[in-house]
Amino acid sequence: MSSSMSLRGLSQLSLDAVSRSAIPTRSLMIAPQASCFSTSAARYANPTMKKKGMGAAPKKGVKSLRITKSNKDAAGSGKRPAPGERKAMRKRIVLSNDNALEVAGLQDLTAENALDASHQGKVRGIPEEAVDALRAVEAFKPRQGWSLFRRPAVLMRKETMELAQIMKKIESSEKSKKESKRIIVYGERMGGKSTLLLQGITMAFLRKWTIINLPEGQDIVNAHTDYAPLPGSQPLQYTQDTYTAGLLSQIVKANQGFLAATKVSAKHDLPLPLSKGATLKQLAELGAANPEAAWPVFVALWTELTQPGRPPILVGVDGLSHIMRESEYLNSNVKPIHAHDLTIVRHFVDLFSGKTALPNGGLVLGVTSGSNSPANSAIELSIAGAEARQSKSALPQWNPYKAIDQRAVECLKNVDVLKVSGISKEEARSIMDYYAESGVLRAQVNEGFVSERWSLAGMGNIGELERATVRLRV
Amino acid sequence: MASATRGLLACSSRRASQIIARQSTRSCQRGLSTTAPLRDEEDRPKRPAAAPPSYKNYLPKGLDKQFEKEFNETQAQQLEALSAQLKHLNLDAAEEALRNKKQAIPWSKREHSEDNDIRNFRITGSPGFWAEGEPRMGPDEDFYGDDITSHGHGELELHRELREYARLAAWELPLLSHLAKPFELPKQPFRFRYTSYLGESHPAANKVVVEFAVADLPNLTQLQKDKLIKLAGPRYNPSTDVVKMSCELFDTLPQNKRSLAETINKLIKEAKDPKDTFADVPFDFRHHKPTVRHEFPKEWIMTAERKKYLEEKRALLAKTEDERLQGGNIVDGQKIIESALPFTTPEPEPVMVSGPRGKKLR
Repeated sequence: MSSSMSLRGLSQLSLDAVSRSAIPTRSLMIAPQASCFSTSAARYANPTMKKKGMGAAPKKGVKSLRITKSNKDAAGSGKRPAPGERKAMRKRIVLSNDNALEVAGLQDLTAENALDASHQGKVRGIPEEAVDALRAVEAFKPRQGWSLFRRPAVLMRKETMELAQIMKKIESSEKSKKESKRIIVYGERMGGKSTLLLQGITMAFLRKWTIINLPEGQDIVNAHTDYAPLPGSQPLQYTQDTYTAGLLSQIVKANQGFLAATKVSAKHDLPLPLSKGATLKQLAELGAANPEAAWPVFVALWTELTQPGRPPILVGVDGLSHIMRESEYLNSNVKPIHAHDLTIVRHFVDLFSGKTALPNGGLVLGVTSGSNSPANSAIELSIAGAEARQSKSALPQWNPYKAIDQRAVECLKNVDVLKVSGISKEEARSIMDYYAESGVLRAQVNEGFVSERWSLAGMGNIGELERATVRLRV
Repeated sequence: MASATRGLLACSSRRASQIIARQSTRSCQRGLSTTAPLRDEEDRPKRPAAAPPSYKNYLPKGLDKQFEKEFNETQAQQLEALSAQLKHLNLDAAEEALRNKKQAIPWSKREHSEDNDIRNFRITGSPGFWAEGEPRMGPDEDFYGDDITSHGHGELELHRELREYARLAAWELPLLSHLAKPFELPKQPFRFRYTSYLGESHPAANKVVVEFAVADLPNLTQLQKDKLIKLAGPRYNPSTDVVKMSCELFDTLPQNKRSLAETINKLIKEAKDPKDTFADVPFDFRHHKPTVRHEFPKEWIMTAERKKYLEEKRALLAKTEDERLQGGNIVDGQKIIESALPFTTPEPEPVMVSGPRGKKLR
């Protein structure tokens, strides 16, 4: 009892002490309490701002609660990009960089030496006019590192030389029996598959081939462009007029010289009048300008291109697995349309399967994508089968319980494959020399450095190598 | 009596009269405590306050006075005895006793050293650890420091046991080979498995599992075997070619085994039925994922030749690298950048110097 009394007394005492004496640490808090009878502080204080929201109650009919942002506020916060501007920024392709150094001894590919085996393992520049054609057919992709260098140049790797050999063989085949080749290009992500297609197009351009490139398979089938049933087709096919018109204009830009110099030779059934003695360029431009006539014009142009005596044709498509499955388009029964029922895809697929021959010879390249490719077991099967055929081993057993697109299997039955794997150390050294001479690699390119970066890049995956040397500098 | 005194002793700090008054109402006391009892007056069951329970209520009326007198006498005697005993507890008395070189009250020598309540308790069975040191148990075993610890004895025991088994392995185990029998294939391809839970009841005690290899089944063509595999479905393991089935549908083992046997018979009968051979149905092994074991590649083993080859390769590389360096054929990105940038001499940056305050600089 007495102890509790004394405790209470102590606590009261301490309270008193706090309230009476100003302890230094708490003096700030205690000071106003100490001078609570003074009004001078309040009197001499600066006049305060009038508080917001302290005015009269809102009048009737005036909206005081604003939940949504008004358009005025949004417009005032900055200029919004125009429609399509963001996408244009995303898809922008920059092919030169004035800050990069000019590489002194960089040789260009020329029409004469484009297919030479002497380029093996060297970096070669792409000539100006070829760059224009490549840009026209959208062979450059936005995520590639062209913007790091003064001008586009490519490493002539082993696979490129294989492709060059194939093209050489096609060119040198007999006139009566021109050879044609159908190849799936596959390999790991960032391995240089699209760049290989670009190199093929470059070489074809320099060798005056006709170039038809479908830059992205996804764009054809993702139902972003208009489509219409093709009258009189059995089974029903669908044309994509806008896309075809765009393709025609790309063909015109990429093959300007040949198309302008060649006149229409056969008689075509076109919905629009074409002047007599018109060139192929005029024919193609007619289709490009009039999307409703684009498909008949494309068919007519193809007939012209396959007339005897015309140059070989290179047909390329990137993102192969997109066009080997059902598309996003719907038919009148609201069922998905198979990609092979779209006329452009059908045209390519017939070439790819060998159903349509290339009488003047040519090369059909189907490039798979590592980063944007839906799983496609038909392509996997055809690649496995082609590899087995090339290595003369037993054909792979297909799992019958796995879903597979039969039409795609039929199409891809007898195509060759070209695997794009990692580059060798010599090739890596060559491209790293090029990087260093362009001023984007601040290091001495010696054996140890090359080996290190080559290993870091997953045994010479060229995309990863660029990342490890140029983009990610530690 | 003795327990009563002890109880009184326990609360010796109180006055005697008070003790007695309390004694009559409450039997339990707490000794030497100044705290109030936890149970307060209010908590107690209410009794008629006027009549405290007393022996008087139980006595015939005539005997009342006489008993009171006797009771007072006995109480007086008790009090005297008590005060005589309490004398020892008195501080002055204790000091006086010390001065007279008397010992304190010898507790053990008291007549009533045993408590009334435990007087009848008898020790039965072995005395154990808690009885050690008791006088009636006799003296402890003598320990002269000439023995190892119990842990040491345990170690020795372990060693003896090991030696025993070593002797068995050396002398007895070779004789087991006389009992060996040559392996004979089982008469039938079915291997049944029953599970005993050693007398415990278990929900899976009645379960029977059978395994058989499809290749071992007699009198089946390849087509029929294939059909059997297709019929067996996920019970078939393609890696081992074994069908494994189980049954715990019925309450007893024999019933379950009979059910399995019937199922197998049906399966074989269906497999032999040529009406539908299932030749057009592909095998479905989606239920089975074969375990992949990766072997260390032979080419990677570090043999003497491979070591030599690698050393030669490295030496060649080093040589070519050195030649390149001597020939000036090595590209150095750092130098290229330095030589490509325009040459500039570092200029001293002009520094603003402040003049004296409040005066314009001239």
